[in-house]
Amino acid sequence: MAPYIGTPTSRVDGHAKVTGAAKYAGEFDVPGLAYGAVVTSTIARGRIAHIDVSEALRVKGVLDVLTHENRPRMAATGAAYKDEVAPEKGSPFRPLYDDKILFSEQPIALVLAEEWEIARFAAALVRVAYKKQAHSTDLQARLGKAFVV
Amino acid sequence: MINFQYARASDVADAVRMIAADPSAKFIAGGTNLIDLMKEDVERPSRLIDISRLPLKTVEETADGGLRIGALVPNSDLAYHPLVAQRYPMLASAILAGASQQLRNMASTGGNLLQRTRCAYFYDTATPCNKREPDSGCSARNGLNRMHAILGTSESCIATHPSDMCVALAALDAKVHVAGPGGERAMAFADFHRLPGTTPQRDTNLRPDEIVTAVQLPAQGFAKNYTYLKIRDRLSYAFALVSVAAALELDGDTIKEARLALGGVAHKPWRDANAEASLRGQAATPATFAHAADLVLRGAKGFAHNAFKIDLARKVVVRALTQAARGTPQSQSNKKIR
Repeated sequence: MAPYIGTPTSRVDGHAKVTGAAKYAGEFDVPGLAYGAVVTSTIARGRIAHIDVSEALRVKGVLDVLTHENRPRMAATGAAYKDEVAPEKGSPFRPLYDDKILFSEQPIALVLAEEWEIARFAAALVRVAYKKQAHSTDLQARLGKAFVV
Repeated sequence: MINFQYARASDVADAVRMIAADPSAKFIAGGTNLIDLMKEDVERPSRLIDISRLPLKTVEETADGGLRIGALVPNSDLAYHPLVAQRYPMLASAILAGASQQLRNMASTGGNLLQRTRCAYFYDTATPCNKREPDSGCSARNGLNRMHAILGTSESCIATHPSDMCVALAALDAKVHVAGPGGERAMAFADFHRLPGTTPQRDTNLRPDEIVTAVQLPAQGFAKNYTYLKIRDRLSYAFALVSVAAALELDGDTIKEARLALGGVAHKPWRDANAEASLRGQAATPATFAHAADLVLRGAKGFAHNAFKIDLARKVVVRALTQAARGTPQSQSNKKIR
């Protein structure tokens, strides 16, 4: 290790990256792969009143659209999601768990398709109606409600 | 992103025919702004008409000593073109103050003129925006408006035009050449972009079936006494809070001709004929510059988060005129402001 410290060293992938030859993970083509596009919430707090995926499902090449209404079974208790570094209080975020919106841009649907472009197009066709609640983004004003370790 | 058709125009007349036939089609050249907007579903063209191979990529000298810049000349090529660097260094400097090397390599001259505002509400399809969706309302007026306009705003829109290049082109009295079904016409640069008024969905006076073919510069380039001074939240890859293109023609200490254009403050590059007139015939002194700055900003109006821009702009105008008069233009590589 010692000789490397303080010595300018070329990155092994440097040339590939500056020339554009390096591939992003998403650029590797694997046969039979399904592609996903996430639909996110446009409100910061509230509930999903209605989510209409019918138009997205009609797009040729779309395999399925997962939402809180049809997602696979998942563990019901927060404990099942906890990792060793999670805070003691609060509840871990479970994507597509229910109709609650906890933050802006929260994932609320996953469109699965045979191609990435098809998934992205169909994702733009998912229609969502919300029951909006007031959100608060002022940290100073909410200091009294802060979680204290 | 919404699906679209793709077609390639074979020449300018073909491009005009194709855009006239489909009102929801859009031209694409470098795509550095349009593709972003399509990914956000802000722009939803039915069809992209690729004009990137049209023969509009040359920079030519004109009979009157000016320069005709093809609409597809990349921003980088224009900034480093020898004739631009020698005769119109303010234009080169403004181009290099904007975006990044990679974006400037892709972005075209015509596309730079036609880029859309970076107002966050314009980009966010979940919020009302009169520019994106006429009569839906303006979210910026009572929202986060630090980046927004202080001059020429309307009830409908307080967005700014984001270009640096256009600020210099406005100061240089450029002309915009366009082609349409009825032939070609030229517009003064000041007439190309619009103020928002009640129709902020229209950024420019380009008609829906017209294409920008060239930008023409007059002979006078102000290569000796000029600057492009851009103030932003960080020193690179950020849009201007306020920018100023200042150009002077001096006879000793006396100002013979003066140009002043501001960016980041309005829906279009902002020029003020009275402010420029106040400089002509006067001595190039701090008092003269301060008076011109007051004239430019006399109608300025701030909103909740951008009122600071009024005083900032006043100071940037004075500093820019000082840099221009001294012949010490702002460097776009060493960004220390002197």
